[in-house]
Amino acid sequence: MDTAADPISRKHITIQLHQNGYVMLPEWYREETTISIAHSLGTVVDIRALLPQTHISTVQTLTPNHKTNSSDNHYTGTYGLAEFPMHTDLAHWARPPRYFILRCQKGTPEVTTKILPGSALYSILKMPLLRRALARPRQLGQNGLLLLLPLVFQVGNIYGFRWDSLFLVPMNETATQVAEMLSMTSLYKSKLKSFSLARNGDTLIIDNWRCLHGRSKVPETEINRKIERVYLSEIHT
Amino acid sequence: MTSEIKLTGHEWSEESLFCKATLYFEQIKSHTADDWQYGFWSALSLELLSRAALSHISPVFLADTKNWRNLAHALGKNPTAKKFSPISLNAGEIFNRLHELIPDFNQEILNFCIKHAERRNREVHSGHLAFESLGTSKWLPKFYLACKVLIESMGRDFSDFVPDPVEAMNMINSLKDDAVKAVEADIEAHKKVWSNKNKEEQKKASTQAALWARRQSGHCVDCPSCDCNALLQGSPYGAVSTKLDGDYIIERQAQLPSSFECIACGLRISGFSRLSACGLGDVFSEESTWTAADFFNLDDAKEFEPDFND
Repeated sequence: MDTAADPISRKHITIQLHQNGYVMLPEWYREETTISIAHSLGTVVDIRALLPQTHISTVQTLTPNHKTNSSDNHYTGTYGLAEFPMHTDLAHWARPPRYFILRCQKGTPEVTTKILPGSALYSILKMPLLRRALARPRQLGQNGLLLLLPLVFQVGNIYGFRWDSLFLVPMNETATQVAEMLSMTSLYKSKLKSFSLARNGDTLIIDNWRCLHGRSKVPETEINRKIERVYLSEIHT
Repeated sequence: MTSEIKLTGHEWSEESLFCKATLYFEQIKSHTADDWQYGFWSALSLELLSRAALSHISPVFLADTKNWRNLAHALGKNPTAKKFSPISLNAGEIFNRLHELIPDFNQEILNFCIKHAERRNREVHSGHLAFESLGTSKWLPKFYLACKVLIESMGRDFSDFVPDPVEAMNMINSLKDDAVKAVEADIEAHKKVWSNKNKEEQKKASTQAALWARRQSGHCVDCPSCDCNALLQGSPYGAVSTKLDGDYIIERQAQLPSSFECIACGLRISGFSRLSACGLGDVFSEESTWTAADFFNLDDAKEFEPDFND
């Protein structure tokens, strides 16, 4: 497929991502595969090439599971069916992927993906505070090094934000403050946007540098939920 | 809407070094100014900040060139030898490179950084308590000035590093105020000595000064105390421009004033901040003229003779 042939979608996606940091596309090209959708949108991050020893595929299938059934280096292994804390994906990487797509394969309206947009984030956490916040990955990197990571990083003229209470360890008081504020959901509950990927083809594209996200808790009856995820380094405009 | 994905960073990257400098700087603030740790952490932080600034230009500048594998490491290449441990340059060499590469990292800042690193070395390599009883007025304003220059050279805000930039800026400005007061007092004192000389002594000293200023290398200026010809010395500031002028090669390089001397009244001023405070802080150019043989080091070359069948 080629979404470039669909100029309305392309323009809509670009504008929404620019304005809000996310875009929800209901039942979008439901007959297409997630990987073909991803390739038509932008540059796909080849996770298999980046992490060859892990056997994680470029299109990852996310299914809820009980805490005991998975390992603790995954969110599901740690939190099980409970609500996931708000985070950015792969925050422990030196430069996390810019975007990701969540696409419904088997949906339910009972489970939602919550988004805290960048504009809301920066209204509760002020930039001068954020720019001095430092963390480190909880594990050594592949090169055997442990390097500090700024919670706010700059690439050209773009500022990105990272946070993950599971994979990152705050290294200074400022980062601890940020962690504490983000753990208090009551501070920003009213600013959260909620989307349920309920129908086949429902597609959520998130700017991972500007938005935090988290999954709601999963009722036992909805354990068959199946979402596919692909990371993108770039969205074609 | 493009970005680069990186799993792991580099230990010599600007980002990792800047983050560590920030973390160490925060250690300063967890001590009071009369604690020895206050100065100690500042020296460690300053060294990391300097390394970050050099890495901002290129991480390659951090590599110790005695082993080419250090260059490969700086470029992000995997080690090609067993048990290879990358080695970067020592602090002194880092500061010297910054002095040449960052125009605002002037001689005064270089001198301060070297001195502060020496204190750090004495602290960790000897029994001497190098930071004990070291009053902050001796070093803190210069420390902040060095940090500001380094941070801004990376295109960052001073406030990214210093939580209270106003207080730090006040200290930096105090350097200028102190310099103004000190240099004004010096000029006034030498004016008095000059005015006590009779006309003949003044004329003789003025003639000798003019002759001396012509013969010695340096930039000729008027002395702010006696108005005689005096000399300004500078340290290189920015890139060298080279151009061909007929048979000669002309090299020009801007110089940031670093010292002043007038042999007529004996006034001497050193340091850019003091020179700047009395109107002698303007950048000047130093020009060198070379023949092609000198420029290309062709001393042994024979004079060119065209082939010709007699």
